[in-house]
Amino acid sequence: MEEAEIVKRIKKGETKYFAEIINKYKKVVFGQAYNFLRNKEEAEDTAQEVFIAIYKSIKKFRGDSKLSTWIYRITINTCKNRLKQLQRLRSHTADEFYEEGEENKTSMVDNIKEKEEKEPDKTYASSQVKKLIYKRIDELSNEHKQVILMRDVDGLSYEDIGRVLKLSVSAVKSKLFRARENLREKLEKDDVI
Amino acid sequence: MTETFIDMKCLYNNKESRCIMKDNKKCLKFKEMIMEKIDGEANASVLKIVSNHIQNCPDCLAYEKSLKKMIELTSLMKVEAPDYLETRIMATIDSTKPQFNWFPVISYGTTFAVAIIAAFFLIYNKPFAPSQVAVLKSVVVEKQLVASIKAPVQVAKVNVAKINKTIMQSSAKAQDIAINTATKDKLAVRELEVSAKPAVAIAIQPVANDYNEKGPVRQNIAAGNNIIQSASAPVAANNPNYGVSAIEVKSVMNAAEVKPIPTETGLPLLEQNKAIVANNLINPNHGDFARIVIKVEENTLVKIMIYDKAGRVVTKILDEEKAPGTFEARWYGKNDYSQIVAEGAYFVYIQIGKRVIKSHIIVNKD
Repeated sequence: MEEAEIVKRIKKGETKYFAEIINKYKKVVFGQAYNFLRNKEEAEDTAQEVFIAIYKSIKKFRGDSKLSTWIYRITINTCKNRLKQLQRLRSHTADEFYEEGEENKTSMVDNIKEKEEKEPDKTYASSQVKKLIYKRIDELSNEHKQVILMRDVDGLSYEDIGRVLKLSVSAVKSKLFRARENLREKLEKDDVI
Repeated sequence: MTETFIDMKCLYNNKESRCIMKDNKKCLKFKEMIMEKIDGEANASVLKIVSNHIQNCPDCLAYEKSLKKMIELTSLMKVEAPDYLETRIMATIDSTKPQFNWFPVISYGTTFAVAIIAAFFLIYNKPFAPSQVAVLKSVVVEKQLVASIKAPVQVAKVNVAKINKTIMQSSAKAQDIAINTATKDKLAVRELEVSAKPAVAIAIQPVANDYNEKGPVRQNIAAGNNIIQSASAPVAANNPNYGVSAIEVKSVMNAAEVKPIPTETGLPLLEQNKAIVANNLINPNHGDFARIVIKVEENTLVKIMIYDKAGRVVTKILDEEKAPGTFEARWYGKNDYSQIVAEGAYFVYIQIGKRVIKSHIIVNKD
């Protein structure tokens, strides 16, 4: 079933179709939330908050933009708000979040091992490297962090990023370029690349 | 190092431009194009330019490699959403399904109903004539007066029990008909206290006069009868003067009266119910009164209260311990301030010990 049809049915009150939306976008929403908050539980809660916000306001969705863009925008805004809230409540850093999650660390190492098995020549990926990348990404400004995550993690096109952030394609391009340059310089200093 | 400018036809953005290359420095324009190429966002012409450039620029070639590596590393940050997330969210959504909002329906419905009632009222009721307006105004003024009187009256509320006690003490002491001067003084003080409420003062006056005019009360005192006993004990029914005993002073104050009556009341229902309201349709303007007959079987607390429809206390007829016997309480349709109550239904609450009997009285003024 097409997205437009699914949205139409949800608007009519057929809640069960919302499961399809969740299924399709949970990876993106959860991933974005996790990369923002660096805590599995917080990311789950935020993802839930995002989907409930989507469900409640889907009647306002007119279809002018792509559903993915709309969902992404809600996700970004919710994550930003949640992060602010958390920073206010607890003055812990993203590092602390990351270091707390032993379980997450293991899963990420497994992920890397898996990748290494598939692509044996790429032996650079280690948990330490990954940790460092997380740290360096967190050091970036929010804008730069956002575009890098959108492009490299979620695989959004320049055009889609532009829609989400309400920027032109050329502005996205230059922002992404500057963000990557910034990150690259940091990683070069760390001898990671 | 010298700066070298390489003239080239840059098809990027379909514009002819010059790319600045600095030795050992970055070729920003080309690097951006390299990034586009890696991201798969470059068009054919850009790809061609970049390929040509990279062949001649080892710096940009190295840049391309490092950028690819970095992108691969950052793409590892992908995380998988837990499987149960979908179930969890759906469960939350199901529990927070928007409920039908009744507020607009109720508010619009109420407005509509009020409008209809108002319309009917205007159609079936003539507008107020000037005389009716005058009457209404006078009613308003009267209400204001009553309200202004109520406040001082509450302050000057007479403690009837104290009066009774004083009278009884004096009666026990006095062997002569002449009233103790102290009692007289006290009565005078009471009169002063109640002077704020003329109606109450009038009610008191005849009793006070009784002392001077050798009235029935005084006769009781002279005869040495114990007024408390005669008021509570059933034997008092045999006393021909009980009707004007000290209790009546109290009953006048409460716009009601309580009398002991002979046990043979001729009311069979009383045996069964322990309390009956014998006349529950009264017109206070005609002097009607409701008869509340109660039967007390042992020394116990007896309470008789009158409430209005809103549950407010209109008057407390009785709230004291009574000896065994049959008593009749009369309610003249007045409240605690001796004002005739409004038309309508009033509830009688009778409590004899642990037993509670409820009844009602209709007040009609036609």
